[in-house]
Amino acid sequence: MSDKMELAKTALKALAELEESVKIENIIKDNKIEFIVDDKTYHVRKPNGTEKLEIERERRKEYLRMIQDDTYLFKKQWIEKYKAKGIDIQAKENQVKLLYGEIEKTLLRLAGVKEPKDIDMLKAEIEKLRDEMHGISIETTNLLSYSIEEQLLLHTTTYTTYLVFEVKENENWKRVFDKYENLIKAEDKATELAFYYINYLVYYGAGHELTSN
Amino acid sequence: MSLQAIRKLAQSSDYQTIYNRAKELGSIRLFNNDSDFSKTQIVFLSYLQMYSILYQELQTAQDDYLTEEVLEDWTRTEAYLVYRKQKTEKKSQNKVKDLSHNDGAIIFKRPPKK
Repeated sequence: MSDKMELAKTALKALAELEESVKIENIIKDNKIEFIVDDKTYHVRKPNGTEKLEIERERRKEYLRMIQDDTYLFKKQWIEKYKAKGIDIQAKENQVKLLYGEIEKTLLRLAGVKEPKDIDMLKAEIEKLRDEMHGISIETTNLLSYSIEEQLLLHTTTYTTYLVFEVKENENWKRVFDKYENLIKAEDKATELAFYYINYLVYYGAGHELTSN
Repeated sequence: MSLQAIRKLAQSSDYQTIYNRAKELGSIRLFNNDSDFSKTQIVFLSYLQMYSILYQELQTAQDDYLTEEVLEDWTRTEAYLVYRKQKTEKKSQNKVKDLSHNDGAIIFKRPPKK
């Protein structure tokens, strides 16, 4: 009985892995991702040249709006505010760097061992260090989620979704929402998936960092 | 969906074969699009390249540590990559040291006579 259970578990794990690999294949095969919800075919795609210009314009507009609003603060300003409340984000970031260095050192040690017992021990040590590092990183990201940098990133990704989220109608692709505001209000499954998939297509983090200087 | 799933797909023999043939022949397409790659496609391409190099190194037995078993284990593969990076850095540092033994003088060699 327990053998059968074990086999069933292995089969289920293999199935889940296969399913994930099929999903990934669907995502990587093109620079657009198609999905079906309630018999309707939707996709999100990479923005074209004109849309990229529109996204940049919207980003600039939103940035200007944020810096004119006193309730929006840059990361550096949030860090100072937190420090006054006894939360040292800089110290947390330094700790992440130290842990990263520690992980590299342990990886180097792992590269030098061949005994299964030593391999398992070092792998467990690396996993523990990683968990600790990820925990602190997540905490820092959460603390800074209201910063201008993070809010602008979110707005840019949302605006991109509005432009490139389309539904198939009579073999033609049509924008799902005629207005950006309607996308913000939407809570349906297709919109939820569009937000999920857009992150596999575009990334506005690198090269778009803003500073308070 | 995780990076692990993207890595596994890039490591698969199917995609490694397609990638290596595409490099040789140039006429095989990996994706439906030939340009304007998505973020995931770029990540996938870098893993394809990484595993292609690692499997070549495995075949030419460049290092004792690199085995089929290591490549099946991501943490051990990472360990190998860190070790390999350090080895390369040491090599280039030694090269710089060798050059500095020339007292900074650049040696020009006469081209061989035809």
